Amino acid sequence: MSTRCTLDIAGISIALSSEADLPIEAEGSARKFVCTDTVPVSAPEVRIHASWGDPREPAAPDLAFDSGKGLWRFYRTRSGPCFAFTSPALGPLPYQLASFSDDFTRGEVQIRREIFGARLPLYPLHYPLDEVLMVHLLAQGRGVEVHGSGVILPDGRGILFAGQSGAGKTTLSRMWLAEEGVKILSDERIIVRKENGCLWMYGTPWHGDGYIANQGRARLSRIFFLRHGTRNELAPVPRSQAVARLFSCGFAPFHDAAGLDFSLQFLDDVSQLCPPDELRFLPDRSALDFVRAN
Amino acid sequence: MIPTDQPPTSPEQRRKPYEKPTLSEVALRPDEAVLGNCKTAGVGGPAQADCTFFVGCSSVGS
Repeated sequence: MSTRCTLDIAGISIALSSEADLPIEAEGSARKFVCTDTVPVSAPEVRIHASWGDPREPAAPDLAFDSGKGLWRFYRTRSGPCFAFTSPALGPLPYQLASFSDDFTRGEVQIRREIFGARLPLYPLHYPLDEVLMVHLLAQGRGVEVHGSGVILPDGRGILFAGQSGAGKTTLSRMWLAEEGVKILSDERIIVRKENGCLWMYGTPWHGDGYIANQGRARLSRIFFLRHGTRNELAPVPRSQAVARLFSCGFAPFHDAAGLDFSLQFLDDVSQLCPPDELRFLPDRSALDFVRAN
Repeated sequence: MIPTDQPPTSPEQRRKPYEKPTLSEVALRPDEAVLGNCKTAGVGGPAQADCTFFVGCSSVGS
């Protein structure tokens, strides 16, 4: 069993390490994002060390954000930003505490042994820490995570279908699964980044009901806001609305003014470089042909 | 004499007609926006009653 593991999510390398008595490995869909020896990472962008501990909730005055259902809270402590994780099934004490440098590129994760000790090896970034961390890393100038599904067509075009729960992301993703030569990056979460003035979309480990989560990226060619319709059709979306709708489908640190500023500006750039349309679609194969043609 | 049927040429003459501002609402779903729950189990936390504890699920709350 290992005490080292490196992930690559959306081009951001995250090196995990742990104490000798805490073997670690990626779990679930995150396994697909583990860097293999054939692609060595010389200088990981993010380094996180995990150890057993007695994680305690930081002082109440340092609380900056509460996710609302007792799942995670964000604190600004004197030593830096910190996430505390609890679960109703595990009692009032945090089962995990993750402390970071101000830019979130260096971190320490304290894990409660009474809860995890019999479940080794362990994934120190298990959900929601992995995704919460990614949202904060992206907001530091790297990109934005979007609530959407993403497919790569055989000709290389990357299509992002953005929409909140119930919009049809998984419905469409399942239909794309049957199409030859089409790669689905995710049925639930896509990360968008900008590189040399071009937009790229990346797969993520965070899947939806379709359990589709794959490593990979593609140039972003089209963005569609999904809506179930009575026929397949496109509706134009004014730019101001496009930014607002992208933001409503995006993930940003709501407690961080600078992070929010960046996210809004980034989504404005996205809507300019790749103007979204609303896609009203029928839940059958005709929708796929319609997307290909548009 | 200035002909009145010529297209406007000065910036002021070319100004777009006034459009009354409108307010449109875009729904933000708090539970989804803050990664506050699990989609499969419908409740918060990684140790829901109806899923195996820490099995590597990444079914986000959407």
